[in-house]
Amino acid sequence: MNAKRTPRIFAWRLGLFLAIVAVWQALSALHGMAFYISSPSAIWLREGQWLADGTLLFHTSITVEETLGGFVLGAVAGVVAGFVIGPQRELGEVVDPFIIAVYSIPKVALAPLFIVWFGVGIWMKIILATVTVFFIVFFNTVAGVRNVDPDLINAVWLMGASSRDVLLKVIVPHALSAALTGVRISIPYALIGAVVGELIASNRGIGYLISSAASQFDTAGVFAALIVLTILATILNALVNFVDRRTSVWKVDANLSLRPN
Amino acid sequence: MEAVGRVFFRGGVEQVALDAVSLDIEDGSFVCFVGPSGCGKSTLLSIIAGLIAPTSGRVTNGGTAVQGPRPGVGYLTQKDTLLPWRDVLRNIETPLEIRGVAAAERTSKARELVELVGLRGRERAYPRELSGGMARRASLARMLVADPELLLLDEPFSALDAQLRVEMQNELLRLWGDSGKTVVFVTHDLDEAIALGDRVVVLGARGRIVRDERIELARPRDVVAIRRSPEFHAIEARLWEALSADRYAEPATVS
Repeated sequence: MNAKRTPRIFAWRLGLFLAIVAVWQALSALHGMAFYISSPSAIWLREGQWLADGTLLFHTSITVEETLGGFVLGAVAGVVAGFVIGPQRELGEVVDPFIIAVYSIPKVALAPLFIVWFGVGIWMKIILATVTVFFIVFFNTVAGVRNVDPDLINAVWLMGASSRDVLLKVIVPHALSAALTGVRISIPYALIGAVVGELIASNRGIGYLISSAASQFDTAGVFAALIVLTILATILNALVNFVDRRTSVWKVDANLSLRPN
Repeated sequence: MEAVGRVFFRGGVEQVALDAVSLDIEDGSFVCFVGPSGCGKSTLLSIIAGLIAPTSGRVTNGGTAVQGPRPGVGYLTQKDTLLPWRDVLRNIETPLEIRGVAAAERTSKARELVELVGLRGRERAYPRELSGGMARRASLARMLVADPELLLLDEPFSALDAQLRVEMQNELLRLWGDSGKTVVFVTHDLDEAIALGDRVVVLGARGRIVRDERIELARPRDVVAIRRSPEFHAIEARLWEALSADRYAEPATVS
């Protein structure tokens, strides 16, 4: 059933894609429309030109660097903070409202402050991505530490386990697997953080490419940059799915009661 | 070990889970507790295990009072509590790991158990990849690996479908065989209790013993065949009467 279905779905997708491109191309031929929607052929040319002169590689590598930097920093900080705050209920209760308050701020709104603190260079984007990733990983880790199935703990208790056994054999693995879920979810958010930073203040990166093209009314450039961004996001999502498939066998569904959403 | 479990327990004022339950469990016997849900069967088992303390009375095991979990006791709950991040073999090794058994020895012991419960070829599977029956077998193996003298089973097969349940019941009888282990088996299924046990203790709605009967059916038993014998039906009728008599003796209380 599935084997038969997959090629058919694929054929339909290809058909839909070609139809969109064709309609787009046709519409752009109408008088004045090219200014607003450019055209697939113009975008294609721009893509080739950027690829040839190194623009594409340069800006993409900047964005990738910021995304990965923010992702790693945010994930590490989130896991560490989650493991520190998670087990201490009282400390957790004290700081929870503050953390939720900071979490609730749209991250874009922090960008101007980060410009003051870190300048308009690459660090401001990395920090913006870090903050975005941090909260996702942090909430998952805390939930993982706090919501361990009591039946699992009891089962290990009954084997004569010490508190240390319970911690190392049940709580830590459970929390780590929940943290990993957070890490997995946060990958695309790191990209969002980096690109938002670039859109606000930058002279490099894909976000910059989009805003600079738009400021020159270069619609083809805007679309060309957007397509690069789409491809990058797709690759990151594929990475997420890959990690997911490798770990889903033993991963725990942490009950994310803490994560406001 | 002289495994004489003496249970004497009187619940709190507000909620009487168990009311002055007192009995001796002989070494090497297979005792079944049966009763309606909410009669305190599981509470009783948790107390014997040392997982919760009785509010009154005490449990002794071989002359010493039970205070908290102790070695030599295996506990199997209705719900699977295999660690999701460990494969079957590593799950079975867990009790040995906690006891500080060397890695090589615990692996070989765990492999023996894998063999015994018929899970060969599934050693590296994670709990999520196991069917209900296989997960039960893995849990059983994990309980048995530390070679406990006393097995506490809390409705271990009630989540399985009828066919699998029968299969696992026979498996349990085979494993228990002449091992000399003491089994305390809690169930709400009267047939299951009679088919498995040397002795069936019927608990009433208020957590009191309403009947304590020896089951003089020959061993080894086949849980399917035994259900067809006239003796089985006679015992069942008696115990069923005891259960329903208790049910209608007391006015229904809101719980």
